[in-house]
Amino acid sequence: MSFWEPLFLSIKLAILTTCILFILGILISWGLASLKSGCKPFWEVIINLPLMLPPTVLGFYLLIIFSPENTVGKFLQYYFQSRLVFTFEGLLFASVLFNIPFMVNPLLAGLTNLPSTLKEASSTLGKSGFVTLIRVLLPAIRPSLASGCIMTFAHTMGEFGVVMMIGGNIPGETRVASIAIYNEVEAMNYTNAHYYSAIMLTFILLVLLVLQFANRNTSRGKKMRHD
Amino acid sequence: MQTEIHPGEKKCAMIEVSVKKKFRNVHQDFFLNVDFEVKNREFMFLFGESGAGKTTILRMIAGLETPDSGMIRVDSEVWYDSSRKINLTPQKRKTGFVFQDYALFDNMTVRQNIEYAVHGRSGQGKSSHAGLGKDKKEFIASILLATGLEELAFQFPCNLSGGQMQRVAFARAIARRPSVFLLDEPFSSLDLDSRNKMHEELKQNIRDFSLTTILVTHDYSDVFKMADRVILLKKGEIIDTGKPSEIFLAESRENQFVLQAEILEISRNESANIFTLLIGGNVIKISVSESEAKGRSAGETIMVASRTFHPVIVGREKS
Amino acid sequence: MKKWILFFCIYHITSAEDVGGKHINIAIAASVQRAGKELFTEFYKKTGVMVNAIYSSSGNAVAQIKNGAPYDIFISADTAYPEFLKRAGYCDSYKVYAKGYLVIGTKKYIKIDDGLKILLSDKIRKIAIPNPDFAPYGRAAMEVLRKKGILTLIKQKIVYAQNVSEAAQFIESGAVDIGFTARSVVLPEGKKNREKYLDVDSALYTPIQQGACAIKYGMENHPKESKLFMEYLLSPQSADILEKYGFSSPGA
Repeated sequence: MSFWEPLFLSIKLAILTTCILFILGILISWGLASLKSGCKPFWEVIINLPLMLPPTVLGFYLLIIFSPENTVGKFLQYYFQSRLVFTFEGLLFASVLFNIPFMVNPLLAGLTNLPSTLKEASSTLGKSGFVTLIRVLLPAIRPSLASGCIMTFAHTMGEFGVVMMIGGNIPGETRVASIAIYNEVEAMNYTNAHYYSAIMLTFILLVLLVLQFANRNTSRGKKMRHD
Repeated sequence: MQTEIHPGEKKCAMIEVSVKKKFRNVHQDFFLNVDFEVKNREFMFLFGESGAGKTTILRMIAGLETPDSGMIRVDSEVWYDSSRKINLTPQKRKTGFVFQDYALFDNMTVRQNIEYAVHGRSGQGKSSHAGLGKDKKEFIASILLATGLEELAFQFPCNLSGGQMQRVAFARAIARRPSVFLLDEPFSSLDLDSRNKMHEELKQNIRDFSLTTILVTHDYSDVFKMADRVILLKKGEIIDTGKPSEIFLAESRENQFVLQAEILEISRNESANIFTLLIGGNVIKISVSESEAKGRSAGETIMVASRTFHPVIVGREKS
Repeated sequence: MKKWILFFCIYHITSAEDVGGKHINIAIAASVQRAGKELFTEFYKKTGVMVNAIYSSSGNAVAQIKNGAPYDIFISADTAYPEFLKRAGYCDSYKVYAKGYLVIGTKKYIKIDDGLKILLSDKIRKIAIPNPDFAPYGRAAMEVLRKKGILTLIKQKIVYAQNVSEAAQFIESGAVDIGFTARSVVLPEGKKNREKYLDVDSALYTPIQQGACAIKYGMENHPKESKLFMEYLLSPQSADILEKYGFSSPGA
């Protein structure tokens, strides 16, 4: 099954990244939304760095930071017997880092566009900030949540530069579909490259269509109750 | 019907507010400096034009804004005291706040919105009707009944009319069993008919649930129909306080009508100023002397009193 | 109007037009990049022809050539790629210009034994090899490991680099514990470094014959210059430079 392996690996990476970032993204955007306007621009720049940086830059720095020769890498090696380069965990870590803006931006936009009275009402009703987040704010920004997840998933599926730098191209571990395609082109196996590309394209199109359809259904469903 | 919905609650909710705050209005800075009391079960109105600071005071009582200095005490419990550095969070203050935009939770049904206010301590468990105790269920049922929302209990806010949404906002705030019931211009987005209907309902609810209430408005009809007492606010200071009739009808004599009017248009002909007014849904033209017309502009709300008025009833109008 | 003038100027400055002298585009494989720099400089000195070097992976270069990329010469790390181009009609013939050598290197203070048994030890967790699917040095490394009988035992430790340069980078940064790369990537030693690179016994792998050819584009657009370069590449002067970088002449 080694033909399908890269595809499953890509999907696995995309799903895990989206799940982790869902939680992380909510926490980050909630934190940012509550910040006084002074510090905000600074944090927004940091959050959006991965959008501006070429993926290879991030990959390059990660490679250096996590190399067992250097402090962080040594620490990881010693205490956890693992490294973050050339492993799936390393890819996942880099992928989460790199996709932060794709999850945080929609969530932050959603949260800041909510009327502040919602939060205030919840607090006057005796609920803590966290309960307000879970029971009032997040349900109110469902479209933003969906948007963030879709963007993150799709972007991870296509991730190439970072994986190239720190993946090590290991079959079954870090050889994701985007790398596999590149490999096949390098090795002049153009047929395989075609297959991979076509499958990836079809898969992503299907996923996006399904999600768009589901999103429209929920909003249509709500409208229909308005008789 | 005057029923004690929750007997055994404390009888003595008295609110003392004495706060100062410097804040920026749209046009200029000014200082808010107020000192007043609200008695137990009193229906107190904060009245003034926009920007006078009424909403700010309400928010300070609720804990949504912090004064620069002063003290807020409810029921002999100190909610805010700048000298002792006490400032309770909104969660710890038992206020029922009705926002101008109602702030209903669109992802919850009417019933769930109310349950949200009722359920135990903050953050405890899921809001499922099944999980609530028997007396809580009864309480919610009584609120739904009192606010006329029984039929709408399973509707979502996006399907409700303005008046219905407002009732939900009331119900939710009342369900909190608040020490203070705070309403921020609750009728401002309603049409005249709904408004009048709501006046009666609100007054009834407040009586039924024995609430001590502070309502912010700039509308005279609200005041006259519901207030026990009014505090007149102008540019952050209290300029008068007392019963509505004392404040607004100071110069009233018998057989006089005092009406609240909105100036629609001001025009001049050779001899006089003509004001086109909207009074209670009717459009009326009156001529106004130079001194009375001075400083007035379209859009302003004024009080119009008649000097002599001998009404005669002519015919009947089928309603 | 000003915008258009500016655009026009920029376009001209940045487009690869002949500005005075002649010049040719050469796509060159990773293992020959360092040697290539010196070769091109000397070629220019000798003939006045400027070389525009394109450091692309061979597979990429081949794919681009197939789609009409304006490369005059293709310098590969093996003969498979030039052979492919010949069969596809993009070049008439190719010549082997050098023989490459495999080395093994590490930053760790360990002794590399002849049997390469060190690769089995627990101290070695990651081993870098250029991807054997398309890199000739990777194929050679796999051959060596197979012949030594340890391939299956260490397979899970292998990290696949895109080319010999990346393999060397992994070794030098310590991202891997040990790795295979081309001798031409590490010779001559420029900086002081702790890596130790040892030649792998050349009997253990098929000789790495590196081929180069003039592409159809070159023959059609810059026939004189392309011919000049191919002659130069196969000349003794070039052989001297290549030897400095760890290659040997084809026959050796």
